[in-house]
Amino acid sequence: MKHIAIYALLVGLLCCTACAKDFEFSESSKVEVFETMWTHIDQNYPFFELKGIDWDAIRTTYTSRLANVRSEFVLFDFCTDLLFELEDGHGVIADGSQTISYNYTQGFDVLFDLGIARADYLNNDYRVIRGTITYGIIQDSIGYVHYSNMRGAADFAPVWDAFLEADVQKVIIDVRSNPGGQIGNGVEIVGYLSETETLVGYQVQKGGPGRNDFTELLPLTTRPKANSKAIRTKVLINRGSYSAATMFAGMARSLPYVEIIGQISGGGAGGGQSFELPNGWVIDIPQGFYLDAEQNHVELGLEPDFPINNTLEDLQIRRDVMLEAAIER
Amino acid sequence: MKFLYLVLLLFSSLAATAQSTKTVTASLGYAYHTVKEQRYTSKYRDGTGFSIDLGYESANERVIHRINVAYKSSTSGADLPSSTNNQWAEIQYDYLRTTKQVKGLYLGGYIGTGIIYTERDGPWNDNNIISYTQWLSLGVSSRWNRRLWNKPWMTQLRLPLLSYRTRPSYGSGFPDAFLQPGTFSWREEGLIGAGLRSGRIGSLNEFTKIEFSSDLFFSIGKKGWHFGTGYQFIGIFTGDEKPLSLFHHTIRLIVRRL
Repeated sequence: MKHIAIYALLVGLLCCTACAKDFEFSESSKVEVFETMWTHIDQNYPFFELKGIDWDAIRTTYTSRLANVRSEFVLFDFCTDLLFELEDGHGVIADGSQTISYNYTQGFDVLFDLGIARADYLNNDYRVIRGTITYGIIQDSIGYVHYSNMRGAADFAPVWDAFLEADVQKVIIDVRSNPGGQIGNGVEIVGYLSETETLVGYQVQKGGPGRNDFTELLPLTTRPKANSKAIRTKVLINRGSYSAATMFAGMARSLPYVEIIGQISGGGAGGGQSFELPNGWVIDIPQGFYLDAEQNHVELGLEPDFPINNTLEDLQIRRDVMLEAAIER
Repeated sequence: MKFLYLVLLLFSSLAATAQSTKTVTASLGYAYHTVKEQRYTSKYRDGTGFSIDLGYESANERVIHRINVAYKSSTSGADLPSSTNNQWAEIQYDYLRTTKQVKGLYLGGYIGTGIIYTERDGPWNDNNIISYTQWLSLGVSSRWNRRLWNKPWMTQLRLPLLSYRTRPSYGSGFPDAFLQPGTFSWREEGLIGAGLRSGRIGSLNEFTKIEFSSDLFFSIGKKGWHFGTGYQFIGIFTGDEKPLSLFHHTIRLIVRRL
């Protein structure tokens, strides 16, 4: 009998494990959500110093504001405001029914119309791959390709083959209004432009919870393809070129025959990673970043070598002066 | 590796010299767990799944050798916007010797290795969609063979003392050794070697895995077949900056052949 009692006690103790419980809004639970979110960002966000963000002062400000948060609805706005203090396009918050992200084009005129490039510069003689890549030949000697996102680097192979077949003398890679994708795709595409292995930048990750805990600089190098060719290249960017699109432009600039044309890009040199708050909401923030080959940050945007932007009037008369600059230069 | 081989050889020869009973065990269990993987969540998620265990045992009055293979699969947070699929595989070898003080009590050690792989499903960012915990442990093991209601009743406990444990690095899904100049490759080449080099050695501070089970057996016929039912608890805690906490309960049905 004694053994059975000991056994029952042991099983009972082991059964007393943590339970997953539903979240209910309360004075204490809102504090828990705030503290968890603040701490997660504090220990993982890599750009406090670069952006001059005083995260401790923000905590003080928001702690006072928290007293006025009296519903889950208001708490969502409160958490969104806290996240947007980072001014980071990878900053995303979702509650299951809505997903809000920081608008990295805020304050900029992003004036680009792919339809004009297709109709008025490619003369409607173009191909589209998977609905995201438009390519064709301009003026018989310029290869033009527009990427609407940075996914599917393998899809660049037929584009490159078509350019080589046409014996183009210049390539225009247009990543305007491209919100990004996978960083590896940028490295892969630059590989077609470089006949030798080339350092195109560095990857850095957070290495610990301290604000300056980072990994060493991790070199990113291209691997030349069998048909790689050093062709004079123009990369078109605008404020809508974000994340992997900005990184791609930064990598391409490592090659001496590549010129970046357009408007300062959206930046976003990190990659968002998700984290679930105690109430089930999910936030995304970057936990690492890309540096160009000269170890410059591009988080705040990549400055073009030749700045130029379309105006509304340009688009109304179906002109793309950014593309024209790339054709003429 | 040579050491492990010699140990196994020694145990095999010991087993061969004594009159021993061979036992094969198979069990199928219904599992409930709560898990907090702090790489991507601040909350405990719960869920259900199944567990399969296969065991082979050689025992005499003094010594028990047992090798056990287990596979568990479960889904947690199925009611949340993003659920998590967990796959768990492990293999363990126990060496136990009888004690003179307490009848039916065996004490000894074990060596075990395993991996828990989790993959999130749903609308979350795919930059940190996976997580994993891999371990190689040496620890203490015990078994208490008793009788309850005149039926064989077996209670076991395992606790690691020294482990080599691998988890993703702090800020990415890759293991630590992958994130070093000379090894890092955006093409993710060489991950296996880097993964094997990325572990941390430690005791309970790095990796705790409490394993407790209690099974009751009933005879079926007279040819050494036993049918059993039991309960298994496993608690896992890792000691990294973004730790894993896991509580796994299984109610299981067991078939044993002597």
